[in-house]
Amino acid sequence: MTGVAALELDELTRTFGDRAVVEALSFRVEPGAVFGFLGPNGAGKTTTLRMILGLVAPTSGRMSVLGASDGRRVRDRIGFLPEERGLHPRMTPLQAAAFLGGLKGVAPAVARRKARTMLEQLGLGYAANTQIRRLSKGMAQQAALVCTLIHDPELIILDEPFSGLDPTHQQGLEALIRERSGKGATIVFSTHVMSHAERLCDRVLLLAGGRKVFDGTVQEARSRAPGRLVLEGGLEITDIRSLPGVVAVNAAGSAAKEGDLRLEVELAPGAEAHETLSAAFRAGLGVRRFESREPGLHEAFLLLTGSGPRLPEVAGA
Amino acid sequence: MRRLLLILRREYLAYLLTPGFFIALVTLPLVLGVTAVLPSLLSRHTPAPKVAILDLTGIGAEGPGRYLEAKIREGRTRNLPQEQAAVLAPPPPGLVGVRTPQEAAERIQAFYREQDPDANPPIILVLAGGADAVEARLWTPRARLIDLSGSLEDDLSEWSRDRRMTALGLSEADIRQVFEAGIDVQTYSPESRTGRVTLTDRLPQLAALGVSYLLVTLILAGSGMILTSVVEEKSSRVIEVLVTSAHPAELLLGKVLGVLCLFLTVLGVLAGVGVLAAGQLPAGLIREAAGAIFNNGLLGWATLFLVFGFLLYGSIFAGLAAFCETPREAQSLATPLSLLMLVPLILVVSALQAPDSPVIRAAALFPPFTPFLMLLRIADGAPAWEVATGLALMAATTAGAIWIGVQAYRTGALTQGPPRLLAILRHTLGRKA
Repeated sequence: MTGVAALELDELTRTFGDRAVVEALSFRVEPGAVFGFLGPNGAGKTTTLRMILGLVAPTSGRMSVLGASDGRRVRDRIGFLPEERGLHPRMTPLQAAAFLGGLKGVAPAVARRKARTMLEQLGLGYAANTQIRRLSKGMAQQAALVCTLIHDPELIILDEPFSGLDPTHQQGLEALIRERSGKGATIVFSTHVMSHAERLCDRVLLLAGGRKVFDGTVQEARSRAPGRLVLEGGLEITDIRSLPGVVAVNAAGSAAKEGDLRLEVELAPGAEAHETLSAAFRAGLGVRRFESREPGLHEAFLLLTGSGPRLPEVAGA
Repeated sequence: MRRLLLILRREYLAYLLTPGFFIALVTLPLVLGVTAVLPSLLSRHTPAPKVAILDLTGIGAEGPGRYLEAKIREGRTRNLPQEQAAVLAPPPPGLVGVRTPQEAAERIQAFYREQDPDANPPIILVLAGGADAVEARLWTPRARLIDLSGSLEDDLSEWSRDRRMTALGLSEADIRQVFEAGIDVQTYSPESRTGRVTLTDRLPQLAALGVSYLLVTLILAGSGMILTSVVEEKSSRVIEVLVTSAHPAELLLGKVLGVLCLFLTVLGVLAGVGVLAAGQLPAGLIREAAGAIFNNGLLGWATLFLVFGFLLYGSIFAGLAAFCETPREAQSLATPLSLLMLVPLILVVSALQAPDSPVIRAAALFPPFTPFLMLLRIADGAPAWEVATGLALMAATTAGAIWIGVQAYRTGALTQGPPRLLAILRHTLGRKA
């Protein structure tokens, strides 16, 4: 990590009364990266974004936003999309883009032209002159996104951008994020939906209770979660438990053949599923079918935030 | 500055480019005109009251009944405008032969029970008693009809005085001289253009009073619009995007000045129409009244006070509104401030009687009241130092109000939940976002 970060937080803390909403948070986002900001409700995501934008003053700590001490000093270089629409309901998307683009230094005619092009890309060209209050939530969200990007910001901050969007619009938004990232913009977005983060993010940060619980690549996050192996056949539970890397054995529904067992084997973090499977075959266990399940970001999220449900252990195991 | 102008433009156009604005602009002069002529129109189309007189005094041709009948017939009834002059009606047939007021009362009530009140049945005056103690009872079909008792009382009193003076031996000419012997007091002042004080001399003060009322109304209405606009932005979360796009001071001032420009547009149009109309008016009191408004720099001062008043109150209203998500929350927070703005309305009336009283002079220097009261002081010829002090205090207070408004707006924009006054004060003055 060299050079100037697009965004860097150093021991940033924000308290409300005696309660620390964000506590000693440090992370760095490289220019051009897509950075996922994950965490359960109340984790401190929005407060952190607001501190970055300069809307909420940190109680302590330092930050650098595009080289400035907070977002207010570089507001023309930042695009922010709040979780809710954030547009005047009586304006049309073109009017909103011209107004908000104007605040960011874009000439109204240029803003309108760019907005029309972007709306057409998103399949909303027909709604360019429709008042925002008459658009569906998803369409209004798309219009708000266009306004966020109208001035080609270097740093794009999106708060729960996928909420309220149908799968088609979600796909469109993902494409737009990739396109902007391809053009060199740094993108920070918060989300509850892990699949978007898995597909889009170079790095993710997990917050829980105002504290950072993980900061790294998606692959690194996945590796924190246990892998799983589903085995089916004439199996003995004690044999399975003695295999290398096995942490727990859980029931996984009924097997295809009567008398067989279908088990989900939870592996230790870092353990390789193929090594456990090889050991099973070497030991001559009656494995008729097997399936390796790679851990996803969802599992990592649940594990790292300490909120994951567990399958019931097999009785007697 | 660029952002401030953009926000100002948006606010201005958001109100201007609505059908409601143009409808209001066209209908306002119409409403004012109709309001001015409506009372006269109404009275012209109101049926004249019919009066029947039943004289039981037994005095005969010299009695009060005949006297009143002659006055009504000649349209000389006192205290009533010409268009409302009473019309003489014959007594209902049922009253023929009646001897006492009690008997008359029973017959009259029976008569009214048979009549349709909407058919304008006559009011009936029953006169009884002796020449030295006439007793008069006025019967009316509906208690809420125009009350002629005062007018008839004056005429009857005149008859009574006339009769007593005749009894004392005065001739008709002497009696006329007695009635005409009133003394008219004329007021003179070196400040009057003609020496003798007339309504024309009081017009500048009256015009200042009217403009002061207008300022209170406009600033109250404008502050309400700013309040609603901020609450809408808060509830729709637009405010979160705006505070990341512009400085809160730019947002707040742009909003306040946008609404101010809207009002100035309306006033400009109305003033233009007023100037044109004033030029067409025939010489007389109305033309002089128009001159008192459009000359003497009154409009210039009024514009200055309108700007300061808008900035002062609009900034505070906008700051308070930023803490509210519903108009109801905002209204309850703003009510004390709205009530404060009503105090000058009461003082303005006192200022008309004694514009240089110590209370009015002090109140005009109290910055929240200066935009409304200093106009009256200026119209009264307040010394330059007083006006300058008032302006300086008002400018400083306005700057302070803008600062407080900006802090409140900045903090309130991001708060959630119902507003609490103590928390607002703590956040605003402590500058903790």
